[in-house]
Amino acid sequence: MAARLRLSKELKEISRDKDASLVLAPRDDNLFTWTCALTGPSDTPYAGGRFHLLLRVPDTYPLAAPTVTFRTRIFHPNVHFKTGEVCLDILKTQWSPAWTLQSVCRAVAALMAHAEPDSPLNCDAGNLLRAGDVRGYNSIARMYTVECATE
Amino acid sequence: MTAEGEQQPDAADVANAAAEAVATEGDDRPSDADIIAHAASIRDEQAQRPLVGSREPLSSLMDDFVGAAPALVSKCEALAKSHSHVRRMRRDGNCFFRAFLFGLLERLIGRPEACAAAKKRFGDYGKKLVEAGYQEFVFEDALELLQECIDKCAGAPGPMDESSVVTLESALCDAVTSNHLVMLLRMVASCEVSRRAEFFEPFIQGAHDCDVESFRRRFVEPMDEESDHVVMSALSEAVCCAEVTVEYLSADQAAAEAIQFKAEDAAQLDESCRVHMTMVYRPGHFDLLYPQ
Repeated sequence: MAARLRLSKELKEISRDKDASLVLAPRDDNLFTWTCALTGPSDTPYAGGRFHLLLRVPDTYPLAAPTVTFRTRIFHPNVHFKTGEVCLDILKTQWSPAWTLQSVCRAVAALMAHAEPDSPLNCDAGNLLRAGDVRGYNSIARMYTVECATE
Repeated sequence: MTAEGEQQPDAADVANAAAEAVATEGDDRPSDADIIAHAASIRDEQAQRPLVGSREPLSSLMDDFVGAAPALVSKCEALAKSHSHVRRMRRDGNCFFRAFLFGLLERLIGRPEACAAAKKRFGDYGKKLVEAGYQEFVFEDALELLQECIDKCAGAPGPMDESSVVTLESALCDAVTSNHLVMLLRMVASCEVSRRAEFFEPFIQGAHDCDVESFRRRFVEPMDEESDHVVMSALSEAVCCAEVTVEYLSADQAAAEAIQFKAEDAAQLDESCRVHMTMVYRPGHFDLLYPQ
């Protein structure tokens, strides 16, 4: 009940503050499942791509964090290549009820621009960055952006 | 086939036996699996307990240490000279916040003047949260809930009125109510740490080796994270009317040591608006104490 109330407030807040690079909405009018279309941040190999996220909200939200998965394939050290699972501290141990679904999506966008190769879910991507092969990482990430995230 | 199959040891059994052999060989350290299972059993056991327990005679606190920690038993005996009861909080990492919340509200019962002051203080703090960058909708419901709880206390016939205490107990044993109020207090404490960042920074650096911002993100705002001096000091500073005395029970000190947390400008408040509460701390946990 508290979760529903909070989510409807978030929905109202989002409709007030339109942002074309981050379109967030509940799926099928179900407040506990949201989708987000995120534009890849500029100056990254994801630039210009359109990435779809799925957010599942637990009953105990906002005391517990939502789970976020990429529905669009992405080559990124902190995103599982097959399942789309995201490794982000604020979704795990550092979740604060002061975060909102919108600020979570912004944090995911920030993660796309600033990967953390030391805690990789995609070891291939992580290893390229850790080995300093930025060019190799950029070209593969770019390839998947063009292949999978361009509509 | 079946008969033969039964003769064959299960692959999993073999693996378990091997793991046990490794675990028992050489040192007595528990394996990772043991540690995880132990942590889960503690969590499950705690989940059976109420978020806020009822008042128990102080001797029940002593029972915790008999046999296990003789040094603490004698400290409990010393505490018993000035305190009569203890109220246990669930050991879920939120015990300090929950003890503070219950202690505050219980001591506001039947004191309309103190209630009005506390209500105003929290209302004003809502504005500070917004100034600090919190979006209003993330805390407004919890704040409203707290104001309602305070109103109920104000309407009670007299201080520590028994039926009001029972109502408060059941309100704070309700997970949704109780945890949302803890969430609010965590935001208030976090905001206060940020407002006094310059003061707290050296303590945070020393104890956690991180900056103020990551301390707030890692230890103050997330639920179930244990509280330290910084958090205790920030919360009593923010709430102002509440003064917290903490009796420390630790095996390495000669005598039980009491530490007071009190807001700097508490002196400006009239005594009729102030709340004094006492907690007992043993490593990792806080409960409420009642003086004789």
